[in-house]
Amino acid sequence: VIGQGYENVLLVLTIAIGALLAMVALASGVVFHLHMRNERRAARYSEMEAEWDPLLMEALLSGAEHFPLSRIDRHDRMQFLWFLMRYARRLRGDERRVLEELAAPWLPELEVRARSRRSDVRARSVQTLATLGMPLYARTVVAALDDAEPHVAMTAARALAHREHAAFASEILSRIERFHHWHIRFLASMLANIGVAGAPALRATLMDEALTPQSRAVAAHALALLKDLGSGEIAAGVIDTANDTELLSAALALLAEVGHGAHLPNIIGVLRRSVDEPVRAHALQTIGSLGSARDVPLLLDFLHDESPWVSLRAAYALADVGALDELRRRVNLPDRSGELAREVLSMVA
Amino acid sequence: MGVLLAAMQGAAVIVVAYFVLLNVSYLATTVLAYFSLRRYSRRLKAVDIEELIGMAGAPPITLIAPAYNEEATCVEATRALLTLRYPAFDVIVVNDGSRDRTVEVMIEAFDLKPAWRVPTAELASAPVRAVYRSDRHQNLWLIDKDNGGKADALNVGLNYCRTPVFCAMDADTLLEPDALIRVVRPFFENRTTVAAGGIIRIVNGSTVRLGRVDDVRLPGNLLARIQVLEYLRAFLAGRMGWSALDAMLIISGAFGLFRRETVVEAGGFATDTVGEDMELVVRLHRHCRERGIPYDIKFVPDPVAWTECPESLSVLGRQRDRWQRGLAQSLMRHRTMLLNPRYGRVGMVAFPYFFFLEMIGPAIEVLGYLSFLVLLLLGSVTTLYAVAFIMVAIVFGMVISIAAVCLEELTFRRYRRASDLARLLLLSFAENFGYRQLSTWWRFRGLLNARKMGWGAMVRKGFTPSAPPAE
Repeated sequence: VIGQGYENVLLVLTIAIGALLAMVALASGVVFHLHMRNERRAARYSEMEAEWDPLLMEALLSGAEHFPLSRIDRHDRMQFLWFLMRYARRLRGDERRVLEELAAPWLPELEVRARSRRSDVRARSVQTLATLGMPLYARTVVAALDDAEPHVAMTAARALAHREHAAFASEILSRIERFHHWHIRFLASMLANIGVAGAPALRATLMDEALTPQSRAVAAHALALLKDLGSGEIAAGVIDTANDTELLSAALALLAEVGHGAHLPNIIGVLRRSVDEPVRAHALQTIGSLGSARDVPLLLDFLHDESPWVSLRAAYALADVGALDELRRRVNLPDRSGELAREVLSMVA
Repeated sequence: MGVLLAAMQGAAVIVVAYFVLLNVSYLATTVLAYFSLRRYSRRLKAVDIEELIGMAGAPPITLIAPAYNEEATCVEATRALLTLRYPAFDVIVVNDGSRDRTVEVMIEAFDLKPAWRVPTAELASAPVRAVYRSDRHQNLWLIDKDNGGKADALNVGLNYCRTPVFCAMDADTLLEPDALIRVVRPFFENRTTVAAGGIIRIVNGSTVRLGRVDDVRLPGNLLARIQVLEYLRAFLAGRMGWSALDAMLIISGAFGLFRRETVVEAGGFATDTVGEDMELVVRLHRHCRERGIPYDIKFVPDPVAWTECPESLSVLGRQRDRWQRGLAQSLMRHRTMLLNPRYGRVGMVAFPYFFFLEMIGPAIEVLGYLSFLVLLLLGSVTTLYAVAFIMVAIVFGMVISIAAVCLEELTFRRYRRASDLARLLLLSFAENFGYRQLSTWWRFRGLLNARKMGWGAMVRKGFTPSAPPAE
């Protein structure tokens, strides 16, 4: 093979070397070009920010009209908006309004960018409009909840999930199934950011049997974070009827926060009939929160459960209901209940 | 003589085919990595890390750091772990029967006291001697156990882990403050994520202050400097590309996040291989695919873990030998996945790549050097041809290396000095003379010793502290 096409092979190799050397030269050039461009940009940005920082401080103290917006070069307008965004995430009330006024002249352009073909441009524009352009640009932001790109839709949802935008809670919740790939507790935390004003919509979601158990579990976790007392009865109803592990666990976690003694029979019912480890563990944790000395015999039974998580929760639940003497009695036992007693007592000490 | 000539010519054909396949694969993963990194870094602009840190929804994480004779670095590394910016995490340092003062140093530095903690899994491991908890940092635990190897120590950590997600790492790894919140993002964004790995960078030459890398520089040592280039290539061009294909087979043992439940179900870390990190990832693929469990394994390029790399040939040789043995052991154990459509892209693309090009590759390269030498001596190949072929190999390698440097400059820009970039570009040429051949030899030796266990000693210098701030 090597002998026959020697000349041809050599020619191919020579061409390959030439082409590859050209690629090396090109790639090396690109590295240095990128480096110089990046350095120039970084220097320019820090220069601009050094100039804008004191002006913004002055504006925050004395009003937006004290910021000489005419000094912002047209080419630097987006950079200026990102600069404002950095502050916007930390500021509220009047100070936020100053930022909104400063951003206002450039937001129409951002609205156009919210329809860009590039999803990252859309996401950033929507995020900025939701932070600095509400309620004027609400339609654009809400429309982004239906963006074909899930991360743009999520950016819009997260930008809207704030106390000041509580009016849009139902818009987010009506699309919650779009975000079924996302982690349940992440979604719950996002929705809890809306605050108590979002609770009625969350309760409706938890009750809605037409929705997936995951969506209802998200609502339950969010209500637990909000400690929404009005959702206790709904959660008790859910644990009587639901079968899904995530939904049951979430409803039990909600009851641990907002339930009361009257819910214990429902919880004990779940504990007895469920074969799911997470459900039983959550049920025991909830009994620990809501229970009393009356529940000690039940908890002691589960101290020997074959699931390490269930027995662990039972041990902590015993401490939660004040049965420390029961644990002390087991401290010297050589079995798992002894180990659990030692751990729990050392942790509550 | 005729038989020898025919054999060598046959070998040369295999070598050329290997060379073409290898470089096409490198090129393909680099191109995929480029698009993937570009998309990722653009998306990153709309992510507010501060907001994520402040969220109640971040899953609690347990950092499991096995330590074996780490008295030089364990305190600083643990201190750095405790200052990580993450809403809820535990740190479990597992002392794997160290023969130095690792336990004493830790007890003293963190005010550790004997404590009780009940295991929640029963992965087999060497006996646990004692459990300690810090009085000062309620989330810091030290588990002292008999020596059993890194995988065994990780299994002990897993047995004591109480969180849904855990981070497997080395005790001497320095995580950047926001590394956890960045690496956990795939777990937020996709409920089926079972593992995610971050990028490993080399700390040699950089200065470390209070457990944080505060001035990133190229190492002064030439070997370490070449490894910087290797790591850039492996992570930015390699893993990013494989991750884009959803066929990542390796998450570095120095920094990887895993879903606890899935790993325990899959049997934990294998103690009978020196490549427990790769073996686990391959097993997770297999476990999930065989059971029809939807899953995702991702590489995340911006969370950084800094690690010290070997600066002497002997230690580096042992490390590469071990890596190759780990690779071979993992792939041979799961060889049923090779070209098996049941395992999708993992079985049909990634596994064959690692099997034929990464595992057997060093043997083919050694065969290549030998066959070219013999063919040259027999006059079957002219010097011109041999030189031309070697040049193609060198320049192709340079293209891939420079592309990796380019990806670094395009995205994360850790090496800010133009002189560092120039050095990296020069190294992409220089590494071909001596280093590449040595590396091939170490890997070939590892392949031959694939059945052997044992890690070999790693000499740690400790981190280079930065000068104290001026008064």
